[in-house]
Amino acid sequence: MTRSGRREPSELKSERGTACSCVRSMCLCVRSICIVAAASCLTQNSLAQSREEPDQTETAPAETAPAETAPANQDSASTSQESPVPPSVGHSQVARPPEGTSCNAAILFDVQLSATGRLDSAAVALGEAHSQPCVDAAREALEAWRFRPARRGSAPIPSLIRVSVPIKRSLETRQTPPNASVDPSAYPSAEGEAAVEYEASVQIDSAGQAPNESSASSDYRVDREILQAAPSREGAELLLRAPGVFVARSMGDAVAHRITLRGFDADHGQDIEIRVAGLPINLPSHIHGQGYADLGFLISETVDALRVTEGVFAPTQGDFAVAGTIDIDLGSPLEGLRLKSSYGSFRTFRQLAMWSPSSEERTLAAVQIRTSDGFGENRTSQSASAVVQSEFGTGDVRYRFVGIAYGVRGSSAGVLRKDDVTDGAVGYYGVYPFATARAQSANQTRLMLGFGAEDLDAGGERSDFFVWGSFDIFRLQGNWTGFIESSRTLEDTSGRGDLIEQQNRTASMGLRAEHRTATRELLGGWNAHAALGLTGRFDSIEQAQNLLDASVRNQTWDERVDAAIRMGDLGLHGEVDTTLFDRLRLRVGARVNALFYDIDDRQGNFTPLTRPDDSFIEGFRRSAYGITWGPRSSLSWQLSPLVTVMAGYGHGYRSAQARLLEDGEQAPFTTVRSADLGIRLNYQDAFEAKVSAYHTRLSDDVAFEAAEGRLERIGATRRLGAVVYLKATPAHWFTAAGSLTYVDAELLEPPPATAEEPQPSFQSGENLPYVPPIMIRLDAQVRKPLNPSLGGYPLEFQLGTGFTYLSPRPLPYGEFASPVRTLDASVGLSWGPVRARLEGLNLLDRRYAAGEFNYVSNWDPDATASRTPARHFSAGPPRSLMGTVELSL
Amino acid sequence: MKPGLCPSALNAGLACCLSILLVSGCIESSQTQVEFELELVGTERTGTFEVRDGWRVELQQADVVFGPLYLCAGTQAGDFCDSALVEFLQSTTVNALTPTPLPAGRMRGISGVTRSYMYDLGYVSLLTRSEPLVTPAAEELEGSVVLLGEASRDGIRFPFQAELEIYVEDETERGIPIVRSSLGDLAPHLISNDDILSVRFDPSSWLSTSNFGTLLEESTCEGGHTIGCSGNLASVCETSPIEIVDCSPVGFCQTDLGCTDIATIRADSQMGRAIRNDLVAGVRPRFEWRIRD
Repeated sequence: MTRSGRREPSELKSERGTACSCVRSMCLCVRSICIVAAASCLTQNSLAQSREEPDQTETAPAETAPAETAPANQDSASTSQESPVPPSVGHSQVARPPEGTSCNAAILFDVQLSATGRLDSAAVALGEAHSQPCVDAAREALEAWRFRPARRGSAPIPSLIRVSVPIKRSLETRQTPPNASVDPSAYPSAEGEAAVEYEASVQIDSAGQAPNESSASSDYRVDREILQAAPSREGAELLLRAPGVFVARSMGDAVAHRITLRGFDADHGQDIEIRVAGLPINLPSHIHGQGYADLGFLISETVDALRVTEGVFAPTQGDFAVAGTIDIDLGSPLEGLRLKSSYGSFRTFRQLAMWSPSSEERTLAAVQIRTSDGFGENRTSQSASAVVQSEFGTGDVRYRFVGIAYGVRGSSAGVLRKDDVTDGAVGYYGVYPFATARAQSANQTRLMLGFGAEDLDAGGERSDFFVWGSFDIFRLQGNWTGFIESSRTLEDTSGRGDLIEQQNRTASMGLRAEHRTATRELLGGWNAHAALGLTGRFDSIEQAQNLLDASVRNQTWDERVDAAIRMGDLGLHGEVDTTLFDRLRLRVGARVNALFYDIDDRQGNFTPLTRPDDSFIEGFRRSAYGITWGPRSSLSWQLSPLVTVMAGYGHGYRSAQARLLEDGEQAPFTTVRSADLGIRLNYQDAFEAKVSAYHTRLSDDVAFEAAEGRLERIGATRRLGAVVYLKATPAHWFTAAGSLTYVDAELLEPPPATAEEPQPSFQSGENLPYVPPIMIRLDAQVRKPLNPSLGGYPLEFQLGTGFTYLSPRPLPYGEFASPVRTLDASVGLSWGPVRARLEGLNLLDRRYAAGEFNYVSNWDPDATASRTPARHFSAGPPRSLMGTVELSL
Repeated sequence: MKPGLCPSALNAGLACCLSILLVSGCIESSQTQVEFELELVGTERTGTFEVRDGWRVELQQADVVFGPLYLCAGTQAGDFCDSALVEFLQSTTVNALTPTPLPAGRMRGISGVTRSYMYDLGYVSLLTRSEPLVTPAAEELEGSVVLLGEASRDGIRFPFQAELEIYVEDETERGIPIVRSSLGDLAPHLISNDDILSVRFDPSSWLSTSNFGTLLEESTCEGGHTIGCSGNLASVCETSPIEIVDCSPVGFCQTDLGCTDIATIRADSQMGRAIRNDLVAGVRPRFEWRIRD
């Protein structure tokens, strides 16, 4: 055994002679004898532990063969047709050790449950070595947990399970004191995660929810230890840690990141469904891009985990889940009040105040203020965000409230022509010396609220609902093309600078609800449960797009869009989840969505100046409706405790941009067919590897159109690729993760040439623009206690690093963007309640483009205008250093 | 180059991967950057050629400023050529009477099939200005086109000259080059780096609709002219009484100009408008492609 809580695989014989293999989080049986086998596993391990560490032994459930277990065994033997249904957690809470006590993040217990779900006994699991105050605190918390008993058929039965009790830690108690008798190998693998072990990997987190139930090889859960390994400028950059994900801001701090996910250039979120604490972030039919998703409000310290589903396999994946879904969980493993101040390059200042109570890991409140002059010119920004999450409730019903408020304003240098930079006309981090360029900026305000409840009843059924509301104000002034626009509204007016103003206001409300049945045995060894859910949302959108002349107080010199959109989205999804002999798991489901649009396009039927005699009033009011459905399925086959083969197939969709719809049109959805095949290797949680290959085909993709400053259709596309993901924790003080993503993304059916577009920028067969064929991400972290302690407080040294590589990205018109290579690192020292950290971002000071494009522009108003596509880029940040001091009260 | 993380090994590895992808065809692009030579050619004119109304013309000088030039993918240039395939953003003065090719520079852009063109004659209309941009070549030549020659008919012979500035005057066409090819002017051609584009000018076409007789037309002060002509007698309308001058010693009389030994074609004259029209919308220069040796 290398780390506590991880049992070496041990071959056991069940009563029926079935071979079982037990590791930390699962006991596997060839046949489902389960309770007996699990009990045997636990018994042997508990016995072993009892022998090894008698002082740690509590009530050893296995030493005295539980009286209530025997009937279950007999029952199992006599009614082998019915496999037992594992117990579940109704309520849990984290442990809070006494002040000054240093504990690990979680303690594993072997727990004996009675047929009523009562906790009969709890013993620290084999290999777990903790100080007694920690164990006591964990036991006290565990006694407050509520369980639903295991069942065979409808009869409750006693059971043995393994539970991981999370420890709520404050900064001053997080360290391991040098003199404490703690097994250094007992470092937890996942902070804050509580796992219930029962037969073949039944896992339930501390809130009673299934954690990342990996349904396909392209499901990834990135935990805090990897998220916090390397430094990041802001919370949204945590997404870089997920395989195949790249994020960068190309229009300043007030415009959403451009996100790339596994071969999809999702622009600002069009192809990725993003949820934060259950709140949907994507904004449909946004003026700046379909599915616009700004994660600027995200406070990195509040992010507990990323759950990234790359592909479309789960019925719960809704609109915009084309490349996949990113769920961001909020939580804080540290209790108390944290004050964190950072200052660094470009006069960047960040102040964080965060509070989290001792009792609930997922309850927190955080406020962040950030100001920066920004690198280079015209990049100042100010932002403030607040995140609140509260979980409460007792017994089977738990409630959760989430609130997010965010405001930001930032200037932007926009894009530069590469030839202008080469010629010295403008600096790499500069901005064009025109009012229309210097006026580029954006501001956004968003408020999101959500409230939900979850009921886990004793029979294993689960019902939950979540209602939410969101209000968003967005305004952008951006100039991508310089001086090539002419007014269609005003006569003989042109060349006043292509400063596009985009305004968007979205008010949304929605709900989702799901009911999941208890697991039932259909045949011997064949268990199943079903889930049925619905989603609904209503959006009211006001949007406009104009051209402004920044040299004369933002005079409007052309109107391009003026529209109001009301839209509804109703979805229904269901799934049957079956397990055969605990090894083969098949999930089959489907999802159907219906969308309704009411569009008041006040600029529709525009009357050009060349047709002054047209006899109608401008405006185009229309309505549209669309319905889409698709299967969602996944299959996992556990070949051995170490190896699982997984496959998935599903259809996803992206709703249409409302303003593009005609009256009565069956709203066309962009549909994606996503297939995935992979293998997962997991060795005692110390090493995890995933290799997957995937194929996706989109019916209608979109890409950035500079002249309009938004996304336009480019036709059907397909992607064929592979992802390799590795995560290793060879020692409790060292964690590393890395991923390599390859994709061949091809444009299949671009729009045909037209009189207006005789030479389309996208050609059939060419590689998709903006999609890097190769992406590499590496993260590593060292966290090591230093000996001796200082002044009674423990010392801890931290070192983290992250490396990102993007291969040259194809651009329109046959160009390729330069590769991106960034190296980030941080070094920190914790001393009791004080923590200091120095962070370096882009340490190699490589010049790279946060966004790179190829299109026609004219940035010299006094020279002959070029009409051929030229390379443009928006600079990524140069090397920056930040110093941080954190105080825990 | 800035230092990197194990730059040589890392770069070599990544470059290797990308090379494999490129070689294997996994990274494809149907369009490529192209660049080829542009040359301008005149037409040798020895002797006279006949223009409208039987006038015969002999040219001693026929210079035109050519450029900027855009080649477009669509069959219609102008509004439908916001994005061109290749372009030549400078301008060059061409001696349209010299058949020797004049290397003008290089055209740059992306590959594709060209089907139309548009160009300016040294004066470029910009969206950002009401007045056209005068290119250096036009500034040097002091116009878009300079003609010098002699016209004759029925024993009447007189020299003439023209210095015309030709640019977009219609506000609705601001920002668009003044000369735009018509359907069929340019045969579809797949451009490549090995191309040489020759633009061949024939100055006789510039005068095809000109009526030289208008230069010698008689006029009176009643017609609103500053100087009227009657035969070789010039009437200076601004004097009172009207002064009559015999132009025979100098040459001949030209309306509004008076006595002169060379007829000057003004931009606002009928002939000036005719030449402008011929250059802008008349017979176009020939665009000829050939492969570089």
